[in-house]
Amino acid sequence: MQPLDGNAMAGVLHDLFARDITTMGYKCTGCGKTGPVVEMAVYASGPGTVARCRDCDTILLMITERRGMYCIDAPGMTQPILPPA
Amino acid sequence: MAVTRGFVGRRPADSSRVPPGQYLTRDFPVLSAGPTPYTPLDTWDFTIRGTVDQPVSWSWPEFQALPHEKVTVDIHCVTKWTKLDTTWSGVSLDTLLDAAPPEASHTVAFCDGGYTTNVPLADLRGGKAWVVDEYDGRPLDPEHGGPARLLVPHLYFWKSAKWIRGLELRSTDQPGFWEMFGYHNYGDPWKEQRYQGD
Repeated sequence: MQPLDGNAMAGVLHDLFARDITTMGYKCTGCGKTGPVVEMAVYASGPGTVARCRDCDTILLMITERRGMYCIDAPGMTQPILPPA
Repeated sequence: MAVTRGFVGRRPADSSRVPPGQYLTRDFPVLSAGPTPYTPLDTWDFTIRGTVDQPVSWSWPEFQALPHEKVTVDIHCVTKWTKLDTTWSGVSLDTLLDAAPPEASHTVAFCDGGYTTNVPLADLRGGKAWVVDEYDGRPLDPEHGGPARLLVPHLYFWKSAKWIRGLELRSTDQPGFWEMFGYHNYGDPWKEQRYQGD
């Protein structure tokens, strides 16, 4: 199964943060790769959305929706960089 | 774009076999949280470890030599699709667990790609679970978890771990991948146990 890119999360991230998050920079805790959210490998077909590092498959972001509540975890993502809104 | 797909119900045709909130599909959707592993059979093994007297492993030829059963079961995904009369071939967990008599009450299935899921040991015994290597009369496709996956049809299908490599037997429970992210620890589709707190 080929992954999507970070644009697959653009809508929900905008809903949650009221701005475009796909251009946010980050560093992967698994391999140190840096880049924007839009470059993440996104698997959105399962019970939740899983965004992984394209280089080392580390899980960067997890988004699940349960009973109208979004839950976000960022186990493998650090040093977020976002310009002022 | 919705975070999760497939959470749209349609009225089922045969409600007696379709748990609440599910709809029937004739497809076999592929849902994944990561890239599909491709494990060479000459390096594949299945291991039972943890609170056992001795860990035990089977290579692929050894696993193939174990008695296989053909089973026909209904499967129910937490994303609301249900597929009736799916046919599989594999080894009963009763056979595998007999080889490593456990002193445990809980299990965690571990898989290529890092996926895990927890299942009470009692839910893997008594003819309720298998490690399967064939679907619909053909070798299990990697997209559907081949070379082998767990099959626990009485629970939501996220418990039927794809690309399984073994079971860790434990005296205490340990949530697996989706369980840690808010999905139900047990997952009975007939009680609609999709999320924690259901």
